Amino acid sequence: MLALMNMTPTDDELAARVGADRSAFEILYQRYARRVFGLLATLKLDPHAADDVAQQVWLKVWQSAACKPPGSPFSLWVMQITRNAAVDLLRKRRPVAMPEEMQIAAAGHHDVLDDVEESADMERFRTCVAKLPDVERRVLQSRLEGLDSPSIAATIHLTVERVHRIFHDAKQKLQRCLGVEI
Amino acid sequence: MKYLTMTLPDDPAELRRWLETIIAQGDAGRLADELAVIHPTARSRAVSLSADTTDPVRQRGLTALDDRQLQTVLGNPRVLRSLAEDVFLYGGAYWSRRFAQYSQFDDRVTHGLQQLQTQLFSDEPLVTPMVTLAVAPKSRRTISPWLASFATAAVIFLAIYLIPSSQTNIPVTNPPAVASTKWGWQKADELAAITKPADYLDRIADLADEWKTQQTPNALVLAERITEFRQGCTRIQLMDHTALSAEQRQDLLTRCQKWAKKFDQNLIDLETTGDTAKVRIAMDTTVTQLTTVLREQAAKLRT
Repeated sequence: MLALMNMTPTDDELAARVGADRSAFEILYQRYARRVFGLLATLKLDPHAADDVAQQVWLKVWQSAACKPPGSPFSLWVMQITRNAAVDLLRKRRPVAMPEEMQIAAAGHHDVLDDVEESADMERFRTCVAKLPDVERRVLQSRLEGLDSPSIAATIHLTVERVHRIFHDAKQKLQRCLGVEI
Repeated sequence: MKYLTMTLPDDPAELRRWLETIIAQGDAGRLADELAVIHPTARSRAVSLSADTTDPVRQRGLTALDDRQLQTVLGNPRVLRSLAEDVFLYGGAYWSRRFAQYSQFDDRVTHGLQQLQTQLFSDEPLVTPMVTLAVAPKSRRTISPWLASFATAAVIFLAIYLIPSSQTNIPVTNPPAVASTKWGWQKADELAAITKPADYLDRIADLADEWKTQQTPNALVLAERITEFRQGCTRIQLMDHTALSAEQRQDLLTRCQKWAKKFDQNLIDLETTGDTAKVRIAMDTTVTQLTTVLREQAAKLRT
């Protein structure tokens, strides 16, 4: 078992061989490709754009991993490349709308995607939420802030059972309005 | 479009696990959008998490957040986005395991590697056997072509003979092992040992959750897994469920019938479009929704 563990190369050992060793590259790819796609999805790149960015990232890894700054973990290095590539793409797509945010992003902050995408689905969601009675919206908000029913009940002066019922009613109304059936 | 807030668990104790799953699946950006609709004033708040908060989360996940910190994350879409990015960039072994648990990117990972192989190694053989990548954090089930053909034939056989037999009230027997070992609702026989309704519903949800561990690297394997899940659904519909009251049984049956339709539709979509990624997402969504419903009901029974 120990011998087997010792045979597993570290990220840095593999990174040092990338560029000359195809298998080292493919092992690193298998270790981190899902994480790369996960970050790109979190940044809300559509799948097509994310596939393109991921390709750029891994081509860069092939070309430059052996020259990775010493002491910098491979995982952080590849994820920073991913984020920078995503920010570059978003900058190209929205050069006028978000110059300030992009500047902030380029400086390493996380505000690049502050604006909510106005997709039809989100507009529908907004409409459905707006249709909820105030008390249902308030309970839903509170639950989405992590408050439990007793805490919410104490805040809005209702019984716990009533809060529980309101929460379920709100969810059902939203489901119906959104066409989500389960 | 799946709306993530619709999967919000009833039990606040489940919130951390729920949110962690959303982050690990790359859905935090979308959840943040939904939260921005529900908390319209949150965007103007200048709130952030300190390093004292994010460092433990990088190592231990969201269990490192206390209730107040969790409320800050859920109440501020900007903070949620920031935290999600942070764990992708800096998350340790804990998050690596979490990212490896979900398979929604598997097809794109495979396709991406094939493209890179074409671009970088076009003078070499294109296909690297997955077995050479065994040190990857997530093992991948491989299936030989003859085994896949046999499995397909077996699945069709079961679809033809098992389902009609169930419609004539012939007791359902365990299907013979095909390409894979039993998983999910194929193991529904285990439920007979559970007597408490809440535990019973939770266990049905746990079994359904095993869907998420199923690798579906191509359309054929995905079709087989959906068919297996659908057969499990038949099994659930035809069982006695003695742990449940008549009302609970009827409720479960009604829901099961709806889920079965969704599985059937997903299989039709797959056969029609061949879009493995889209159908996998649709299945994942259905499974998340149904497990959430089952656990919500279990939680209700406990209160």
